[in-house]
Amino acid sequence: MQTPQCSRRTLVTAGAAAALSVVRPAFALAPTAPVSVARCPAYGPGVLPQLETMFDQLGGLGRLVKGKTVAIKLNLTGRADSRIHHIPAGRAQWVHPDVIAATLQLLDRAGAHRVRLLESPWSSAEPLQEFMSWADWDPRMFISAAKRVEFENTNFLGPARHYSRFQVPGGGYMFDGYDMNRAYEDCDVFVSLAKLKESPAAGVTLSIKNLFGCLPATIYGDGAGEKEPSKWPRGGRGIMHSGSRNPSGWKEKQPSSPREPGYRIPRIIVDVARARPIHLAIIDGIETITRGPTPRRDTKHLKPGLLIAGTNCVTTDAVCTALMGYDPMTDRGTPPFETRDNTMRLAEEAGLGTRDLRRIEVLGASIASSVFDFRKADPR
Amino acid sequence: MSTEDVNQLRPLLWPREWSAEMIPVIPAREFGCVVMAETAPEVAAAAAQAGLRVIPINGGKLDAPEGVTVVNDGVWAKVVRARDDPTSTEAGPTGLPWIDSNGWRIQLARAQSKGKTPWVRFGPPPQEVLRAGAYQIAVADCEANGGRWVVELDAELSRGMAAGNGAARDMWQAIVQAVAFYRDRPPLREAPGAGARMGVLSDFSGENELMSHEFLNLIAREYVPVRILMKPDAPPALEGLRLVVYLDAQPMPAAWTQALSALVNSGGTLVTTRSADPKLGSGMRTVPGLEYQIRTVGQGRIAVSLEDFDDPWRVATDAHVLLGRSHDLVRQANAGSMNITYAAARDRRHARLELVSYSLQRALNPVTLTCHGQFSKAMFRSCATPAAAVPLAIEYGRTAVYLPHFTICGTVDLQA
Repeated sequence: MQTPQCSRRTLVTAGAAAALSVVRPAFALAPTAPVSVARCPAYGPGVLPQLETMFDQLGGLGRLVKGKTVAIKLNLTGRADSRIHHIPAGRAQWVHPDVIAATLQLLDRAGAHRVRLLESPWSSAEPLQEFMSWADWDPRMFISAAKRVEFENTNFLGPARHYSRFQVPGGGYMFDGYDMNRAYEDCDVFVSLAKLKESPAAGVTLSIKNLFGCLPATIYGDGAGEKEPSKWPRGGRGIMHSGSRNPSGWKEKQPSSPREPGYRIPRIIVDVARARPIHLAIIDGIETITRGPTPRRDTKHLKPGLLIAGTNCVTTDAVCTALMGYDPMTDRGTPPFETRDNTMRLAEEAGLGTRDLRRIEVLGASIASSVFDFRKADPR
Repeated sequence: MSTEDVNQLRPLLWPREWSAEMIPVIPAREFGCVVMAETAPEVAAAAAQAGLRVIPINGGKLDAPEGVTVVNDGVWAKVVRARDDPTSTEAGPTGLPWIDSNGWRIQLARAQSKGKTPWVRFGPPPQEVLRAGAYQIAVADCEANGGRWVVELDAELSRGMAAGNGAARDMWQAIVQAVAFYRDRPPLREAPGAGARMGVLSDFSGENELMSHEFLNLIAREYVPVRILMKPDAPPALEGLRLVVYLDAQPMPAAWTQALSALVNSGGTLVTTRSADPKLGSGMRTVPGLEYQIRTVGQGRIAVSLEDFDDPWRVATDAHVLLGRSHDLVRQANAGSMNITYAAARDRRHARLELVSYSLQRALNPVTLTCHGQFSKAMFRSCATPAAAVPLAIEYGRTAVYLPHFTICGTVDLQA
């Protein structure tokens, strides 16, 4: 595991720049890192020891987080009152609270100074704890899991005076930078805790796609101000899907590029992952849904029974994609990328990491023995 | 008439297109009365013979029986369709479909009339072809909130029934079915909103009318039951309330300041606008996302808005956050096109939830309710299905009620 030892700001920019310089121009040299896969049939007390084993396989959490401020971007997509059948969000489209609590406990044991849970709840500036309560979660389960746990709704400015500006090293695909809540800068270690899901815009919703939710709706949302951020978040991020207009403070690099989500979203999320690098990716694949990211017509509830973790977001997402029964090397036209570009290919070309399974060491359970084929479970 | 007798009445506005021969079509048990603008003697005689009380409209004013208050500005209850796309719904500020409902009007009318049963007057929207379900929604919207719709048929339906048209008769039967559903349910002594943890204080009139009326309308879309507190009245006992939002721009009367100080001192919260700040408490803090100055008073707090109240939606959502979702008596999933009315018995061992679906379409996924407290039994009945026990589970300390698919309306009775 890499150990961040420089300042936060330097880490954010230098980490991505270093990654970029390693790979350009030949993406075949994109960095690799091992990915841990574990079978975990159900939520509950079994999650913690399983995650502990996985983090140990990756070299231990201590080297990454001891004495550090850790920010975890959760994956709580959409409204809390959306269920597939009667199944609560945590067992469907959201990361499950047991996975969050176990991660907090393990970070605490590993000596993290403080842990901040971050998410941009749907169209709301309410405290994140309140949003969690809406899903019937009791935030005290997280507060008691570690010594210093904080919550922040990152869908608006929050307590800061201004947004933090994250430049994409070397320039991004869609924008050269993104403005986000300061909590994404005020951390030493950044964790993307995502769900094993499909996505209509990006094919798969994993650790990279999870970062789409870092973008505050006050700037990137349908109700955002055109010249300056709005005070309150309103609606989804439709303008980013459609490209109907620029967010305040930024101009799109290629205004003549396709106005389709399948082109735009994969590029935007790769930009964000370069601007705000992920140090640890954790994927909850114990239970999930098809046709994500939120329940829709014909969505099915699945129980893949998997947990996945890695220190490189691209290698981790590539292994997850394979575990879902897809080939991470395929691209537009082939499932799950029928009408969209492959985020991992774009990330690989940008130097974030390799998607080539031959170059990725898989620890714990093998891909072959753990595949849960989404299309077999939900033929289309 | 006793209150009980009045509560059994379901008024039907006698259609102009009907003659005395139509009286037998009206089941006296379900309706009990007809409302007539022009009372023809032979119709009145036939109605009386059929056991239907005749209630006149004099000079356009419904001559309401004792125990009834009339709401004349009712709206046709429905999901509002998007202006530019009739196949999709207009989203409200909630992100949920925008619903036109009389629920808040009924609860306010009851509070203003000291407990009388509101009869709500509104007619079918002109130039709209209505399905039977639309009429059932109109009945349910009023009944679920403790009111009665003065049933008003559109001219085409009235004429169709008079002509013996089968489709018209089927539609009428659907209306009768909805009326009978609410009439035949076991009664609940408590009014909708009983057991609420949020109180709303206003005079609900004059310059405060817009804010207070819209607040009631929108807080219902947050699924937060409220107890309406009338400012002109002396403060009642405030037991059970955890938060009171005072909506008016003027300073509150001394009696209310005293009563609410006691509530706050014992751990409650008072939310008020800047111009009505009672200047109580000490310390000062703010919470990101809430534009309030929060001061400690005894064991509770006062939240004073930094600016005057101007957006009822923000006031409603802020009040919900300040109350805290941990005090949610009911939460819903997949019921975005529904409103839910809550009433708890005094012993809190029983609670009733009235659900009205304003969409005529079957939802993709069935509704889940999660309720504060632990209940051991839930009975669900709908317009189309008899009472039956439904599965329960405990989810994170709350009682989750798993409802079957239903359309239009349903009632859940919870028992500890």
